[in-house]
Amino acid sequence: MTTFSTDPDPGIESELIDLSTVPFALLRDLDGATLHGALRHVVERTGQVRITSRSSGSSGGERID
Amino acid sequence: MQPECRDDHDSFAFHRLSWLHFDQLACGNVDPSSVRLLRDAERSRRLLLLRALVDEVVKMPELTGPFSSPEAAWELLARVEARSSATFNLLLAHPYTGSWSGYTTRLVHSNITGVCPLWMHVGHLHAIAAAAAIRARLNFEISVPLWNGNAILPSLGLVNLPTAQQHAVAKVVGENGQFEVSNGIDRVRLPSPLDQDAPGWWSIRRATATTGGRRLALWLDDVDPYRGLYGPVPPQRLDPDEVGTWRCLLEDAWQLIVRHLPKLARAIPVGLDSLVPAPSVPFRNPSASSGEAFGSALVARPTDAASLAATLIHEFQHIVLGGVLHLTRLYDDDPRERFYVPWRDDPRPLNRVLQGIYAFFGVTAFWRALARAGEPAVGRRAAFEFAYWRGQTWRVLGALREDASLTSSGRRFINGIAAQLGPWQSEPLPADTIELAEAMGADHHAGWRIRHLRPDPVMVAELTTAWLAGRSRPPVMHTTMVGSAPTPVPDGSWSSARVDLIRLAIDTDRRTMRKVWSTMPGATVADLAYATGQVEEAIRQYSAELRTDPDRPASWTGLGIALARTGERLASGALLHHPELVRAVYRSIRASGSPSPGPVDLAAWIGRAAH
Repeated sequence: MTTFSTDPDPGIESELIDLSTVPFALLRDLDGATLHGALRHVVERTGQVRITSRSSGSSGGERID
Repeated sequence: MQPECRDDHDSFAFHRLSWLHFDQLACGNVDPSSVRLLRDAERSRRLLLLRALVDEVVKMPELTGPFSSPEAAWELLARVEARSSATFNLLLAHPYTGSWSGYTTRLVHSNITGVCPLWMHVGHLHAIAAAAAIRARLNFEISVPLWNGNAILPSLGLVNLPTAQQHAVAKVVGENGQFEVSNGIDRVRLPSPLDQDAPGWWSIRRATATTGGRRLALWLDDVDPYRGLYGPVPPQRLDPDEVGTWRCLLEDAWQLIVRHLPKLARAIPVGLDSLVPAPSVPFRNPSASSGEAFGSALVARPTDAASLAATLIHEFQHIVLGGVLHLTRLYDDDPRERFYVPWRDDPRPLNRVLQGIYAFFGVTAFWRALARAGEPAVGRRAAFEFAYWRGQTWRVLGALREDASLTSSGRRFINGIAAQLGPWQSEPLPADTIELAEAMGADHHAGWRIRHLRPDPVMVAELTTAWLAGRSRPPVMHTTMVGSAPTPVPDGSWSSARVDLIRLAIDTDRRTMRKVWSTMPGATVADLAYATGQVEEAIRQYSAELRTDPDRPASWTGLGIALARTGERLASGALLHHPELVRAVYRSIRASGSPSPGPVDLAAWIGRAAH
């Protein structure tokens, strides 16, 4: 299915497919290149989370992304 | 974000973020609808992670250990959704569903075990399903992980059962609205309502604050194993008094936010769900969060409501930016720890610098609002914190703004922050407040330089030779003194005591200061003298410290800020702008066997090269 956006502000298109209308019970039945691309994307992103040692100083909060 | 379809053979829509929303988020104009967009995307991201994880585990049954297939948990969650989509969504949106799914995905794909055997982490999906089924009041039976006798039911509480095994399983049974967890040795019947403690049961407490029609309801989660930053952690139960203190602090903090940043107060409840309380740290307010645990923050108990309010805003900003980063790239991968930031003692990589800028942009807005309103609860402190954070955040933003590792979206985001933060730089504040804030900034920056920058050894040798030859002026320096990349390995330790004393002195009388200072870890007589305005005494005491320990970074920079306060320029300039060079030359002269120079004399002599 193809649609064309007429939104004057299309903005940023993410690599996250929108699953808001997909029942959880059916989620495991979904298939296709787009789905697998999105699955690969989220899995790869978890691998990019950098866990480094904490600051030795006492000032430090931390933020992990 | 509106569903839309790609020209693809399958018809999925992708989450979008309009430039309007993007720009609003960048400039701190965060409203509930923007946060809901981020949450919607986060929901899909977690569903994708669950799908990917279960696909992987089903292919490798050995990963499930004593648990049945993850499909059993999946089916139970599907039953929950059919009964109550709100309950299903609550568990899916729960912050630690996110941190668990990210952590476990990393383990499974790296084929490594974690804090526990991998089957324990994989089996946590069953615990999520059990908690959801309890909330939905289903009849069900499922096994869940038991770690040191503790079985978490996320968002609800923790069951404790006797066991000699570190890693085991427990059975959760729901029948006609009654719920029981057992392990063959003992059983715990869950109380009704579930938010009360009972034998073998620690509920996850709530902290709710309402003011001006705005309500903030948070979990105070001290039991969920996935509430930490780096991996599963054991429960750390707060005693009831401590819970009471947290609730009072939260009520007062929420009042400050609602009163002074009413628009942000509409958005925060949409994005912040859970606080992980940590023990208080004297004189400091550390906090932390992870992009995978959208909606959660670890917060050490602050001493006052204004500090908690600033911390909540700080962490909320992190949560928002974390959501944006799940939708788009703002920078290329660049792990080099090359930036100075005033909120940490170590060099930071670009991604964390951007997070810090956005978080402290929010903190700056908070103190600005309090300062402008003349909020009586915080007195001079609001003006000082506003002066400090506006300047320091702006300084770091300037260093990042043109960095090649930013994407065009990242640069647009930074420019959005700058559009707000820039005009704040010239807003009028008392001169002594600005002076104090600038001195504190210069102190920390010099402390970072002396520990993380290594001066050119050739230059150090030339300066040493010239000093020992008795030359009245140092040689012309051919190489820049500021060009070297920082090293993450610090040359010496750093003490935050002086900064803490300066902050304390803002609204504390000198008599109280004299009582308190000795309880502050690392504080020296020189620090007390500086913080209480006895500058000449501070200079004497820092010089004395250096005679005893000529390597101590905080003594060199303390000498620098004390000299600067007297109006002296040469020595203070060298000590604050090139402290690593002054100390290196000092060391070199001492190593030559010659008499140690006076620290002020040497710094003033080197300062002539820079002036």
